[in-house]
Amino acid sequence: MRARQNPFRVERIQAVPYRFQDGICWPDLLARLEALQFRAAIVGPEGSGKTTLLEELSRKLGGLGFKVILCSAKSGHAAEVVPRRLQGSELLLLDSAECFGAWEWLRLKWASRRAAGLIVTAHRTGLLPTLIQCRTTPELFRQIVGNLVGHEGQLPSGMLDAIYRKHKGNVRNALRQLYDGWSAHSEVSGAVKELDPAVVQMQSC
Amino acid sequence: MSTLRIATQRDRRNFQPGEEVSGAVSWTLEKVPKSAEVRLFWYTEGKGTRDVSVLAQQQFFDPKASDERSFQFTLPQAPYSFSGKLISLIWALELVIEPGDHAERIEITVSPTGEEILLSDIGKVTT
Repeated sequence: MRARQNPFRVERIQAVPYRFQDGICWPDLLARLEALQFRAAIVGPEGSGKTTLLEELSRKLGGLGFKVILCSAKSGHAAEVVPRRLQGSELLLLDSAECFGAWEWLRLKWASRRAAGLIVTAHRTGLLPTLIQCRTTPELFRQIVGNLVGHEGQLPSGMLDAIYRKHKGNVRNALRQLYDGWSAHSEVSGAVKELDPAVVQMQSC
Repeated sequence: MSTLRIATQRDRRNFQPGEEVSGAVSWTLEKVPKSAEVRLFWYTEGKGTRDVSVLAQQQFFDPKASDERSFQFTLPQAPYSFSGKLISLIWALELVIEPGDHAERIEITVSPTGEEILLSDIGKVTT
């Protein structure tokens, strides 16, 4: 299969919107953020949607009139990534905050002390008050896959659950495996065989 | 409602490296735009992060709310349009009008045969 036709290509995965769990919706999240004075952390394990949520949040906050600065701690040291001093109208959104060491974190907090806010993503709680805990479920994974492949290529739920378990709930990695399985075949039936639960279980051993 | 259109000469979509791509763009908008330009570029799609390279652009001066302009580009020798399991390289022409993020895109194919090169076919021996 051509990469451009693979339903799990990066461009399509990046277009999947964040899906709130537990009945939370955008107004709830924004109200909580305001209550936390725009200093908060989006917490969750890898592949749980933190970056997706942060990017969507940056668009929402930009629409509310904030001057949003979105950056990633994976891009380098704090001195390279974070502006030296943030102004009152600026709101810093930092992905993968745990990549910064203790000194870098202190520098970041100092630089942002007069900013309109500081929102980070992290794997663990403790950096800032928790805004939301991101998590995935097998059902969520099945929904995302269903939307990506459409009715033509529905995949057996047992197979998807096995892939989800293999990647311990990391939806990003699970979708990458589906990309590989799909790319090896030109037909859905071939991909299903490639991604058979028995094969998936065997690979995970 | 706004409409944007890109058309290549004789509606050609398949080209060889070094060839000329020409055609016309047209648009109908509610307001007079600040800028209008057509771009020749390629981008990748697949498992990894997208790469994009804009090879040439042609800006249209004094654009009207409803307008039609011609464009002409010379294609470079490389890269070719190709597809493998991990990546596809796609050539395209795009009309971009601002403000308002109006854009219209058409894909073209650039290769010595005029067809997208399939990496899976390379090395296959035909008897």
